[in-house]
Amino acid sequence: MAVMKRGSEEIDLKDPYVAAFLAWMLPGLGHFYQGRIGKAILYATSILGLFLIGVYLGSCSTFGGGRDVYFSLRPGDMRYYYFAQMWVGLPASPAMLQFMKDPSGQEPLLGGFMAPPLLKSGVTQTSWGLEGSNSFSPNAPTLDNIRKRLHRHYELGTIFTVVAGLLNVFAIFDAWFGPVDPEEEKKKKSLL
Amino acid sequence: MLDFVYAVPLIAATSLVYAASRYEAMHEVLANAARIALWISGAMAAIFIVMMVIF
Repeated sequence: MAVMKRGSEEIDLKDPYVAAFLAWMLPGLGHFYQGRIGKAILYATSILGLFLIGVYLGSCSTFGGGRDVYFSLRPGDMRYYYFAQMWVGLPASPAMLQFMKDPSGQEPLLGGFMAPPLLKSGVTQTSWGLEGSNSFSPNAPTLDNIRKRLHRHYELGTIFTVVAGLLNVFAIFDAWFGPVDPEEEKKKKSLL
Repeated sequence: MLDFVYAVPLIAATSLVYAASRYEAMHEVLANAARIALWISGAMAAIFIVMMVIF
């Protein structure tokens, strides 16, 4: 149990490690555990709201939802953005599940939700209705087709989800250590 | 021009979360979030004007 003093105010951080883990799992959950309800609602609304807007921007009826949140380590498609998106926790976890199940994106789960795109079309995939090999299909969920269909919304969705993940790092630190005191920060900087 | 609308949730979320990581009392969080949002918007507007002039 940890209690942080901020001037005359005392902030009960309870078990900060549990709080930080919960804050990572779901934005706001760690603060809810600590009884800091206002902050819990604020973090949940801001971070999850931003993430969900990003997922919506990266979705379309043809290729499924959340196509801008996926994990890939394939040559030509190293998806480094996921290392920021993953800090949102459980909401970004379907992307990791899709990668672990099928890194090529050929047989995705959940209708392709957060699945890695194909790198090339012309691959036989019964789940997407393509027949035969080496045949071009404009409806194949290749990276090119997804970008063409979503235009700038794909990049915007990526930015939104990346920023949401990075903002949750602030929330995790706030749950773990409590709020940073700006006055103390200024004093430390003036001493340097 | 309507693409500027996409900046609103980004600026709002960033300001709120950053302010919340610095303050505990909600009125302080909201006041500082508003101040940070104005700073970010002003900086973006200034950069936009400079880029419009240069290009």
